[in-house]
Amino acid sequence: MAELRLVGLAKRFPDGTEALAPLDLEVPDGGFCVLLGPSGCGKTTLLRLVAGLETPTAGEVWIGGRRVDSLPPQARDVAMVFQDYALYPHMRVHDNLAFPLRMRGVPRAERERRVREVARLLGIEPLLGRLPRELSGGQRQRVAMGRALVREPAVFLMDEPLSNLDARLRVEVRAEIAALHRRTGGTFLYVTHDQVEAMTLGERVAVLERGRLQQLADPDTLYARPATVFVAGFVGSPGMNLVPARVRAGAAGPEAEAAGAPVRVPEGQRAVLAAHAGAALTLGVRPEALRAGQPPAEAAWCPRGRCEAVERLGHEQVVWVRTGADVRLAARLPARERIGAGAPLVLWAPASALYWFGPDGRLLAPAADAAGAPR
Amino acid sequence: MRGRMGALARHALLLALAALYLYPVALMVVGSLKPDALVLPELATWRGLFPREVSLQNYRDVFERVDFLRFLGNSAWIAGATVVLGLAVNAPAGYALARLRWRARRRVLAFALALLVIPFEAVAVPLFFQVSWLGWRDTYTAQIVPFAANAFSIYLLYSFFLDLPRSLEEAARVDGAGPLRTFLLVALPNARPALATCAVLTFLTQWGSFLWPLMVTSGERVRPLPVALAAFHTLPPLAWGDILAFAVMMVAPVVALFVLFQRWFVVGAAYTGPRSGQSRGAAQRPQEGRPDDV
Repeated sequence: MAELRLVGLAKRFPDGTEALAPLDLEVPDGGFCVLLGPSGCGKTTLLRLVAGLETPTAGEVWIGGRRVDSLPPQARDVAMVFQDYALYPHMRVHDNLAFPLRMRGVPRAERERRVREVARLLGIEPLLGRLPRELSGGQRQRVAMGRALVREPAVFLMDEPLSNLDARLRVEVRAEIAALHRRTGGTFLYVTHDQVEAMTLGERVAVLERGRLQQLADPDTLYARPATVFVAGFVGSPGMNLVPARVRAGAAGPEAEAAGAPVRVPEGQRAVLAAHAGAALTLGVRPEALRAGQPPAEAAWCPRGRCEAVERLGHEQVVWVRTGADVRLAARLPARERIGAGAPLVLWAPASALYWFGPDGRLLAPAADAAGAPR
Repeated sequence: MRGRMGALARHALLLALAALYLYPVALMVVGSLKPDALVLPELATWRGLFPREVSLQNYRDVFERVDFLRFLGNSAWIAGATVVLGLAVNAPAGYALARLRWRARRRVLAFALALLVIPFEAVAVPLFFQVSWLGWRDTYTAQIVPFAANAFSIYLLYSFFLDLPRSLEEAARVDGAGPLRTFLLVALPNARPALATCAVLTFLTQWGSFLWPLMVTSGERVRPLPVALAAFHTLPPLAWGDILAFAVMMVAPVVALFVLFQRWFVVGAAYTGPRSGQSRGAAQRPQEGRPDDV
């Protein structure tokens, strides 16, 4: 096992597309780092650069103190789980598992021992004699992980390994991957577009958008202190409400207005906002911070609108509200509040739940609620 | 009722066509079993297909008059060796065109495709000069080597390799295989349907080849069956029963081959270009297969 270090790693495709802007990333020995982002954000390209399946335009890849970016894949000591598993169709499960060991000249007896061990670990011993086409999706996924594990590589690379599984199985295998990581103590780099996977698996999560690293943080920080509007909107389900806001310098400090409703700027954020008077900022409020009904005295922002849709989830509901200023807001409300589509609605948020983002999309002031969260 | 009549008419037409095409084959088989003297006189009568008596005398005559087994062995060796050598040459070529990145790749591919439209007869004479210059006349080599590399086989394998999921080869690379082992251990075993199709088509072409062996062979030593049949035809006395028996024995092995490898003939016929086939079954997709029951 070893630490993984990327220095200024960048990739531009021959047609000029910038798949990955220069990026620095470090995954400590035994760490679990998730690359999160929408499709086309460059996360898979990054993984393939580490594996050696793509050549970087610039930058360095270090694994365990050894620079590997000019080495072919087979010399990098990484193992990869592919999105489509890429099991060798003509080989039985046993031979699929043994293949990486065979390629490295591991003696037969040792090979057998390790294949059995990994098969036992993943509960696929009864499948060793089968061909991949005789396996279910979940079984194939396990074999693919086994093939990566069997070699005890320096770094594990996983490219959306759960995306071809059904929802129930996905939850199960997700827990298994976490357990596997604990048990093996391996260094993992894991690609997904599913934020739940990222939040539950990753010790650190790197959010990418259009080839650029937006934020690298632990899941709590990512949620509590999103570095940019993109991260704020991408992480969370639904993501943070992001509302264009205008800030003016008033007699008693900065005055703000968003979605047609005045915003009472909390004490702790006044200085920052005063410095941006006149600028077009973005107000951010998490859906779970919004409440419906008559605003109490501590309400700092009370947008009004009409309920557009209600998604009832059993224990709670997500209410979509279109405000007078044609802004769409999501509010996560307790399931017991019966709200019908089309009904007029007043929402409110406490002062401690307001985030502010600058004109460049970067976080200006986090919510007071998030102040205690780790940076 | 109308549909039934239509179907009946269609089947009648198909049967008539089938009879038309099968007639010469039937004549060949039946004629080979009849006394020489009756073959021609009965040709246009119903006795042509339903003889009074059958015997294997013509077959015995063939073996007495010429060294049939030698010709059979020659044909088998030439066709078999071309198949083996062809796979060894065409598979790497198709793979290199489909997967490796090199400068003249597209031009070489276009060139290989262009070769498909050139009839062999057009190059037969220059090829003959070349073979003579190499001192290969009257050898097996002259009948094998020029047909090993084959544009159609290369193209067929090229399009097959193109369809092979790239992640398979990438997995092999990450698992520690270099380019050569990736080709031999992962790409090649998964191209078995295409390899079998190439083998069958090459074998058939070589088995029936006439013009070229006629040009480069003069003695009986390396003469294959089609040329031997033509020579037998001119060998007095002219005995049609013997000639037909010779022809039946020449065709029998390929018919047996067809029965054995029917599946690959069909695959070969279905191959019209890249991304056309559904019958390629080589690589599994994660979506298909059995439901999740882990």
